[in-house]
Amino acid sequence: MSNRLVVAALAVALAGSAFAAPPESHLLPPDQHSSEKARGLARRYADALRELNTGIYHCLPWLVVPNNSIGFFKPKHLANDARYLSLRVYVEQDASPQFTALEFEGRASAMYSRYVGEMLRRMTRDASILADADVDGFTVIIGWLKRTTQGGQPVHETIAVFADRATAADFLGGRAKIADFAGRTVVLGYDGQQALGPVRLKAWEDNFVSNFQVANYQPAPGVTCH
Amino acid sequence: MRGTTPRALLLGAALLGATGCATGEEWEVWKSNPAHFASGEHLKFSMKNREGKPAEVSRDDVEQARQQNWFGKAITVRQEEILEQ
Repeated sequence: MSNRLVVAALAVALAGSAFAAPPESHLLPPDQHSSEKARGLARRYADALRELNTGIYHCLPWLVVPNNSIGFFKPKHLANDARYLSLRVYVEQDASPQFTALEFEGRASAMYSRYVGEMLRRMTRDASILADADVDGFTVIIGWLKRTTQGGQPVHETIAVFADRATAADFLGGRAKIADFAGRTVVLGYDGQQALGPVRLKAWEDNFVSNFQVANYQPAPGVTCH
Repeated sequence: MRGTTPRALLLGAALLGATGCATGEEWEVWKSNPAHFASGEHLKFSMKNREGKPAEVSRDDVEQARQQNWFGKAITVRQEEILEQ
């Protein structure tokens, strides 16, 4: 397997102008944010959000970013105009029997461990985002396919993870381990469309995203993932 | 979740099956993650990598397979239930 893809860290290099760009529709356009604060953030960090989108699209192709899933959203459970840089992804996977045999909290803990820290690191590659007082925090929403269907229709399980900026900064700055970080974040669970409310999860170090390579996957010309 | 495998990986595994040049390790991955061709289009995509050429999966191939919507539209929480624009 000669086409090794290392995804621990990512740099997308442009070779000339030929580049298979991911859909811009993954990003919530600045003018569709409902407050001036959010619109300002979306304009200020437009390049960083585009790079986040591009990196996931090309280097983590098993993650699906739905339309309007990257932006400075307001978590519904928070008051005022708290603006969190938010990212929603679906994980396309064939789950192992061990994974599907777990309770929801177990599956959610595994997904949290695997993706939340990595997504946060990608969302803050532009360090000024983490330092910006207008950025109140970060949201990572992760969905995955449930083993059972509902009326023959597939069902997603979802967790929405909210970290205020100080909590995120402690984790990203190495002052909090992932297990401590998980205890300080708010996590809401969903079974299909049904809200499960706040869930308490355990989290552990998981380097899957750093090490996993899709067999024979060849990034688009001009894209380098490392 | 140790066996986590994206559909894209399955595509790659399917291609290996078509080319007949899979390593033992790759066959193990393929055997442990059985999948079906979703459509004739997917099969066509697999076939184009035959004739002894190294199998490659491009980002476009991944997207094409995804758009065939193997498992149908999923029931999931609306983003508006979690976030406000």
